[in-house]
Amino acid sequence: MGLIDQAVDLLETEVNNIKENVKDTVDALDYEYSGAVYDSILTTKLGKVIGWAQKNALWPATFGLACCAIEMMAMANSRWDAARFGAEVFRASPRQADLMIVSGRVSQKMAPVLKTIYDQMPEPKWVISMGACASCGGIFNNYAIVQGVDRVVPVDVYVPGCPPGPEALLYGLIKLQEKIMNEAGTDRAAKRAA
Amino acid sequence: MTNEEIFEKVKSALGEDIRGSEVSLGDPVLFVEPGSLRRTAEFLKNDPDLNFDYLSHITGADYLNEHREPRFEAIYEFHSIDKNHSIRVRVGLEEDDPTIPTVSDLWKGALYPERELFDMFGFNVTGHPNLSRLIMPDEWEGHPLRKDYPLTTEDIAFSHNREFKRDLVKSKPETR
Repeated sequence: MGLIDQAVDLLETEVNNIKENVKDTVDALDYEYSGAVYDSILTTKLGKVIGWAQKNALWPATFGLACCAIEMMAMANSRWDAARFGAEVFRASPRQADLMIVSGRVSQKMAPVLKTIYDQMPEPKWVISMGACASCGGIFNNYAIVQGVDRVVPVDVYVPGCPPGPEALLYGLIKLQEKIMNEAGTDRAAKRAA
Repeated sequence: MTNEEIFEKVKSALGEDIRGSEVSLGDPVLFVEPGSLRRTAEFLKNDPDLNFDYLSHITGADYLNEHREPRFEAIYEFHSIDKNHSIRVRVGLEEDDPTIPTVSDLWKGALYPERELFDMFGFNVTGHPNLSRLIMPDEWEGHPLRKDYPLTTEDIAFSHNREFKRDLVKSKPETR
């Protein structure tokens, strides 16, 4: 056996040893971090999937307050067709709804009713404040009207207009879908569902 | 019946209870004191020639800063469906004690407008079976249709002056 062959054998052994060592280290690393890596990737991805499902099946509560409700109904009908965004099923019971479109001025006497309906909706839930009156009281700066529905319930999207057209409300809906998708998988979404 | 015939009949029957009368835009108007409202209303309803069987509405008036005494007024519109004539009764009420007797036992339809009088003007309607707020929430303070009730609930956060507008927005009440 020549000197060169001996050297080659030694080198191969050495390389194999290093390979095995590296494999052991990587296995150990995998074992150590596998749970964490697996958890974080899976839950964020799962959160995104849930968010995607929620954003494409927003069910609004049937809750029309004033003239804005006419535009809201127009949004649901075939001409503007909110079904394209999965929001066409207006539920008569707040227990089955996850979106409240506050369509119109909220009077002082309606505010507790609105709060009750909001509380009856299951988590997670979202609120669109539709029109100037719901957002800030609009032209009704007087004793009868609540100066903005955000004094009563937390609002996610404000749609300006007096009244906003169906396409404006659809734009608000799309903005809300973007918000849901951005929040999906984060702590905020978890807090919302709690 | 013509306006003059109505006036003549009412005045001959009630005499001193009627403090004045006028024809306003073709409608006969009677001015009475709160103490004589019950007598006047009973006569208007029960007299067979007058027969005011329908009370269309009751409203109030606040004459603050109008140099007019007394400050408040309750206004009743009576109609006779059979005889086809109408009359308006205006009852002056003092600022210290705006008390007025109910007419809801004569006209059932007075129940709600009298509650509205109490709600919006703070008139104390004596004899009403359920004198509570009609439009505003039960725990509401103040009577919104009085002239000294504040017109707006908050300052409008709008100005052409940007610095001033910033102050206005800052002073807006907290929101949730």
